[in-house]
Amino acid sequence: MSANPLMLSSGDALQGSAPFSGRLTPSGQHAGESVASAAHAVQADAPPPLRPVRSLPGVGLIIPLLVLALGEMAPRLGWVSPNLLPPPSAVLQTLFDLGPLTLATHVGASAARVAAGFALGAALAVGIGALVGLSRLGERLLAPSFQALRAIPSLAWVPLLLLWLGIDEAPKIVLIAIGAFFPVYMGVSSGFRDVDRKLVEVARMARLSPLALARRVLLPAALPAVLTGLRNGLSLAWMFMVAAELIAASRGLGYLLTDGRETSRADIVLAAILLLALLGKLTDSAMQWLERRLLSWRDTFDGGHA
Amino acid sequence: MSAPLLDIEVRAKTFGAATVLQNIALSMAAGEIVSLVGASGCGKSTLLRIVAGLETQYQGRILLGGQPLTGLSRDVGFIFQEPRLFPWLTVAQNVAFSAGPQGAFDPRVAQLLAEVGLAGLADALPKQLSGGQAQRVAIARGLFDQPRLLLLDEPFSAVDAFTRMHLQDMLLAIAQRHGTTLLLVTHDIDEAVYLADRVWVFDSKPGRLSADIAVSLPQPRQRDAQALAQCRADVLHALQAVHAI
Repeated sequence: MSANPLMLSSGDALQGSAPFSGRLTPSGQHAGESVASAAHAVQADAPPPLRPVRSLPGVGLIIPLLVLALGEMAPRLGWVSPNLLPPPSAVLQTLFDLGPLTLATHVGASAARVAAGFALGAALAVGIGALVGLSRLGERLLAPSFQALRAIPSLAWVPLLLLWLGIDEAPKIVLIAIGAFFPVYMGVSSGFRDVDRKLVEVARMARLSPLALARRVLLPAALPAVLTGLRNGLSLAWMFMVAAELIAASRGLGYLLTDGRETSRADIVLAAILLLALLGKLTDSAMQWLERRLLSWRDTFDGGHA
Repeated sequence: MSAPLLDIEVRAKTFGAATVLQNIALSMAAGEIVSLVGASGCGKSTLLRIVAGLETQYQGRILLGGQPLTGLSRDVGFIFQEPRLFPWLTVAQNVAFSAGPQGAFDPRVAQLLAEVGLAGLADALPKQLSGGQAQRVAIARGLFDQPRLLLLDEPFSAVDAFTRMHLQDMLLAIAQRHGTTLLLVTHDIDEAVYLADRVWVFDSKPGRLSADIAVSLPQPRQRDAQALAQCRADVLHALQAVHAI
């Protein structure tokens, strides 16, 4: 027997063949191992075994930790200038130096804009999306216009918003609302249109009023698409908040980004990016939690073996 | 014969240029069980939908207990080929769907679930049910409003043969207990003769009655009875006569 399990000769094929059991050749069978080789033969006929899904705790942390380690090493070993790429420890130090009050001011300002813009955009989108999804007249009347508006890259509105609304809070919130509007609108309108006609027929047999039909059948059936739209809308709201604050702001994470660039402080830029990542992840996880709670009735593929 | 429970008169039903049903005049007595068989596309499902009130564009009239049926009615229940349960509602909420969100607490729900053999599953979600269990829930839902007439469109075609036999016997027992009249569309000749007092054989293009075969055997029946085999042969010949098979 070879000491190295990677060196497969025909003689040790059985011992070393666990990953190769589907490709066992007759030359790998010895008279004394007939029982074991028979077992392998059965395996060879069967489809490749389904590997049990192991939970592998922390497997998602491998790459971030590697990147952090590399980011810490590279400036310290002189591979890059610490001014351009400050090590993670320096970024943490910067966050600490900014102090909780300053951080809370910036995070609070940004979060408030996202909340206001998202609420405005999502509420309008739910209303208009429902009109388009629930009524054929509504669709004919509204869908072409909103399709055309959707084709405009939302940032193209910025100059107009600045002209009309000044550089105060109003243009920022409106821009965020525009960004959040379309994913929610698409989710709501298509969600209603994709409701199974067969379920609607059951509701008709139960003689539901149009209002009860919408509330008891169409809304729950469209809920998965609506929630997906809301989740996408929220992540776009964060994105448009940064765009709005980069243009003109005296507070907020977008302001921190601009400030860091203007003062050549990459550590401040990275600190703001870190905060954006945390906030985005936090709100997305909240939406995911809501989705799981509201849609626990769904019988869907969860990524494991069906 | 006393006044029929159901009186169907469809002079014509068209989809565009195609005439799907023509000159249909049929009636059913209260408590009767009738199977409707015919080739695919002979309009039997359309006839069922007309009686249910789901299809209203046709020439003719439907009388239930002497009263014209002009649309959907509490007196007519419908069981579809698929269970069509609302996946976000529990079994009990599905059964009592027509009674509104509070209907699940109706004592009739537990009683019906016991009758279809699903006692204890009231709070389960549809995704936890097998195909046969889901169809049992659909049958309980169809009976919840205590309809006088229950329409069934190939209700057992999606379940395996053994489950199908169980469900057929269950349906017969329930129909008898509730005095429900059943009109059933099926592709299964065994099912047609085993369940029914009469079998209507439909010709196609346009759909119309070709034969009305009585199955004059008392319930409960033996599936392997000689007389049943004779009826089965009669239905088979009638289907051959209209070139359905």
